[in-house]
Amino acid sequence: MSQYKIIFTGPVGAGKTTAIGSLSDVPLMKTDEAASDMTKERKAETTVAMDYGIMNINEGEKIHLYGTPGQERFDFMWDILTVGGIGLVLLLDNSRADPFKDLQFFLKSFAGFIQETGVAIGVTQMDVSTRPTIDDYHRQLKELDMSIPVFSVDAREKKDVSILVQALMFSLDPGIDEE
Amino acid sequence: MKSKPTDLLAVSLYGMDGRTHKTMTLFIQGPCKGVAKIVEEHEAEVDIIDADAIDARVTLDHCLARKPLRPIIVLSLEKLKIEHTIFVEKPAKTETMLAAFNEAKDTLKGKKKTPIKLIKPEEPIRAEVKVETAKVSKLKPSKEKQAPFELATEKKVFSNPLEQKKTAKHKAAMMINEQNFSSFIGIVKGVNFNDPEQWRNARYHTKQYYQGYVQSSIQVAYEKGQVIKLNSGWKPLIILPHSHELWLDADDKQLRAFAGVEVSSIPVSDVKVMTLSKVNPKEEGFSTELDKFQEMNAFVWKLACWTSKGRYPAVLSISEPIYLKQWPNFTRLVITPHAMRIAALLVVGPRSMLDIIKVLKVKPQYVFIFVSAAYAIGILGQSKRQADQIITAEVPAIKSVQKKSIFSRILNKLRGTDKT
Repeated sequence: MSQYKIIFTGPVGAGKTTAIGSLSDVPLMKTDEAASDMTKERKAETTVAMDYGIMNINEGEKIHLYGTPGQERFDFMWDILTVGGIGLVLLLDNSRADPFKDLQFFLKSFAGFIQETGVAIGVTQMDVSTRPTIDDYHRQLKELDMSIPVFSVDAREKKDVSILVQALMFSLDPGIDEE
Repeated sequence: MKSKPTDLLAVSLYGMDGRTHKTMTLFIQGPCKGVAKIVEEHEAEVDIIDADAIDARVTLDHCLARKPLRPIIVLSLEKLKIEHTIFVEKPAKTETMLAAFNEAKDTLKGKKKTPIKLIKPEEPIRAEVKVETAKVSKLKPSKEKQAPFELATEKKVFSNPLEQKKTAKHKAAMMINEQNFSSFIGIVKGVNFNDPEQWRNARYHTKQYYQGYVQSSIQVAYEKGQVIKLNSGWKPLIILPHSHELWLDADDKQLRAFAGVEVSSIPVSDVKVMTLSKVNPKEEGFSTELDKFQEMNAFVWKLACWTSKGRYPAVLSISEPIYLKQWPNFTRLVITPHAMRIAALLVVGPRSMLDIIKVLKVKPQYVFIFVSAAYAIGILGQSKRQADQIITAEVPAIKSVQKKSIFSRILNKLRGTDKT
């Protein structure tokens, strides 16, 4: 049976672990540890290896949900993680100092994978920091000649994460039957 | 020669703690002596706001709403571009501060000559609204919507608990499927969507509905950069352009009902009350009813859905290509059937509504309602380029049937588990 993965990435504290937890049908396998470096300023615990969840789709078929470690020192794992991936969910924390820098960093880091598959962007913490706006993100993406879904997301809300993943599926193939 | 006390510019300070207030007072009394004086809020001719204060946004909104004609000097460590304000970078230097005062004086003089005319509540604005509606429909795709309040460095706008609560209540998406489309959206009489010959008749003029008035009023609020109230003879709608929100004392059921009523069918005596007026937050008392605030695009989107009921805006052609500037922020909108598929198809390249119906094999009303809503929030338009009529973007080819199948199953899973 084929193994399919959806990869969740983004900076520390953007909500990757929570988003995977929102969709997973099994308890999340977390590899969070107490943060010991500057990461602790943003969250007490951080993912040092990866998060893993499962979405059961039918008759034993599973979609594996992987979250990349937020810290850049683990970026050597990203290439391995994306093998067999069907798409990327990029979560960005709007309250960070420079969300556009994060956007560019992750799009560049996963450029090859995105080229092969697709990406959908969820912007978290928009209730804490209303700027940049979703339109601002689109303007940034336009400069990179990219037209991809960018949504406000509360990673704790299953519906938000679900809509983001649905948009990823449709951006991969608008012809998918919906109902 | 010293200026006479009567020539002194009366200024009021906002968003400053005791120490900063005192420093600023000394600065105005010292280096800026003879030019300005600190007075109480109600006596001031000019407002000075510390934009680095955590509640700067609220303060600015308050100042704009209360005295739209009063010049505002904004102080900040970061370079800000805020329409209708005079910017002074911190640390404030005497020269720049004096220049700002002079600019404020000039503005005051200019405004005395040509005051911005606001429409009085009693004054019917029907003709004016029509003009503004025309402006909205003429917006060109290449024109980026100018944000009137460009606080690029602003990180935490809503810092007090009241504002935080208001923001948090923004509604999440609502997914409408084919089964509940008619009950949620409504039915259009007189159009048989099963007959392709009748599709061209499934159009509506936004100007003839509440939607058109709302869009025009929003346009006016942005152009003037001030809080405006639309008095429609129904429920007052307050437009807050700086926070990109609206306030309406009505629930969705009431809005849906009113959205479908043609304004031309309302008796003339009632139409007369469709006016715009400036807003005094203290008198209106709207700021305390936080649950009635709605995000601007989410509101306009659903209003367009309920006005359209499966029809398309008459200003668009169903046989000419249309383009989508960007994906709608679907997590905060009403998601009509196939809306995401249509968006995914359109961001690839322009194509006509008729073509979308054919390629996606969906009912026309699902395409038309999406087009209406996306057009209403300014992210969709009719393509003007001749090349788009010749070259229609191809549907992105999916890698394999196996993958198509897995995507479909993922969707079914997601749709099955999060139906609302």
